[in-house]
Amino acid sequence: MSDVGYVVAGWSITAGVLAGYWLWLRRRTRHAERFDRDA
Amino acid sequence: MTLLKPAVGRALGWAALAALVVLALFGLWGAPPDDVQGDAQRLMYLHVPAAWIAYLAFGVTAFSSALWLWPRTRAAVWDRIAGSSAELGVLFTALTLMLGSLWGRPVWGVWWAWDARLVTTAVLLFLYLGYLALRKVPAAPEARAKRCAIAALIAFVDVPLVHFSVSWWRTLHQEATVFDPELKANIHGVMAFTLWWGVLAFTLVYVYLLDRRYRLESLEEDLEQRELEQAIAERVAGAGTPGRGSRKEEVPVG
Amino acid sequence: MNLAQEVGLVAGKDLRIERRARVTLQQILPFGAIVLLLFAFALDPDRGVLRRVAPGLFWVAVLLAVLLAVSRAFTIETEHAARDGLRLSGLDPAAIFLGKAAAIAVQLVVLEALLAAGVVLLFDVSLSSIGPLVLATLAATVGLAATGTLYGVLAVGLRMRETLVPVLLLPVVSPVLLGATRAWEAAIDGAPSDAWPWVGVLSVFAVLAVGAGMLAFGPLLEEA
Repeated sequence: MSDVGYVVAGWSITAGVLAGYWLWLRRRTRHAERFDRDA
Repeated sequence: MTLLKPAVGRALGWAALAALVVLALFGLWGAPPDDVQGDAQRLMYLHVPAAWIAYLAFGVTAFSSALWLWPRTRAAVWDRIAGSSAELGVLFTALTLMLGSLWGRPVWGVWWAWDARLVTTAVLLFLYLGYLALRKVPAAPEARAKRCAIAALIAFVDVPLVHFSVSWWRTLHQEATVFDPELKANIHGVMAFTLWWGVLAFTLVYVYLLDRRYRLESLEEDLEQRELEQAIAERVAGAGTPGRGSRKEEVPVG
Repeated sequence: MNLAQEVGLVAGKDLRIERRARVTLQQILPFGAIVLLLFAFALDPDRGVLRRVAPGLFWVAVLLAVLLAVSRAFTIETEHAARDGLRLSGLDPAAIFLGKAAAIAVQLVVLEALLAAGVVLLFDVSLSSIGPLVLATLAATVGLAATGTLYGVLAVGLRMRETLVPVLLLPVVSPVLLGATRAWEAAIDGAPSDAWPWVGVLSVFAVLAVGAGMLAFGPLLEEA
């Protein structure tokens, strides 16, 4: 892998992880809110 | 239920996103490649900020834990912040290690090096994971908070010890190549700006995510509490009805 | 009863239970010895590799044995509502902590002495410069016993105790593994003056661990 490959890998994984975590948080929050409403 | 007012939280989210975009523009294009490291240096614009947040989150967890343990400041908010920050801490510590590894391969020729900063960060990851495992153990909120808070403070005191002993160990065994993970001294101009911008952007991301994670923590704890109360109420209702004898009921286990 | 007497009471109780059950001698010691043996299987016994890494292997074996010793020290408190007994006994929690940690430390020292003999025999190591070696070992043992007792009480009564304690304890005591191994290497390689700084590190860890334990044991015992 050339240097550029490592850079691309690092930046895309970082973007993916942050986006993925944000989405996961959003999903779990909506799930919890649904139960909150049902109460 | 949240640390920030909803409008502030939303604005912060957009600000963080914008800051990340600017970071990408500078980090991947605006800043020139390094004289020595070439393009691989661009990973530093993520690795250094991630490391900063990894340790910041750890400090927040420890500080909140201390505030919870101190009787005069004890409040659920500190426990929830500690737990939320720890989860973010795992995230950024893992990112730090991954980015460091991806940087190390082209620059040092190895995926890993046994120097004090890297090893301490690896130990930090395990300390976090242990804390999170402890948090997942079902228990009354007070008991769980106390256990986790003490574990967090012990870990906090441990990190400098680990860093010191590993650092000493490695200087005694120093080989010809001197590994310099940050190379901050060689950075100036646009590169320095990008690095600091990265620290700013990641800090915004951290605060934003902390607020969201805190909200989730509050919701889930309230949910647990309500399920517990419901279960108790149902059991009481079942037992208090005369003439029904042993009425079998499915009681949700919290 | 003053603190020292209370400590003696608790330590005595634990050691008496051990004398009757003999778990350390009959189970933990063989475990440590088997670990040393497995290292020989995993590594090359013929090319001096074992002799070079013997200190590290010894301390890894001791660390794993500590996990068992800690688990055992708190298993005995889960029977017959012993924890409630401890809480209601009126003993100073710090004394209970010191007593339990002392009992673990005593068992560890016995274990270490026997495993060290094993290391000398199996890995062809000569233990010179006994002074720094012994002091390093004692400091490391105190640190391990104290930290182990602290996490042991933290996890006592939790269903996932057996997997939680290792995950919590091992990262925290990594400086002990580091320091003790380096001290032993220095002592064995004939550069004992290099060992003393590590003895210092180990002592600092031990003092901090004992202090933390004395503070935290009481609150943790309440929640157990």
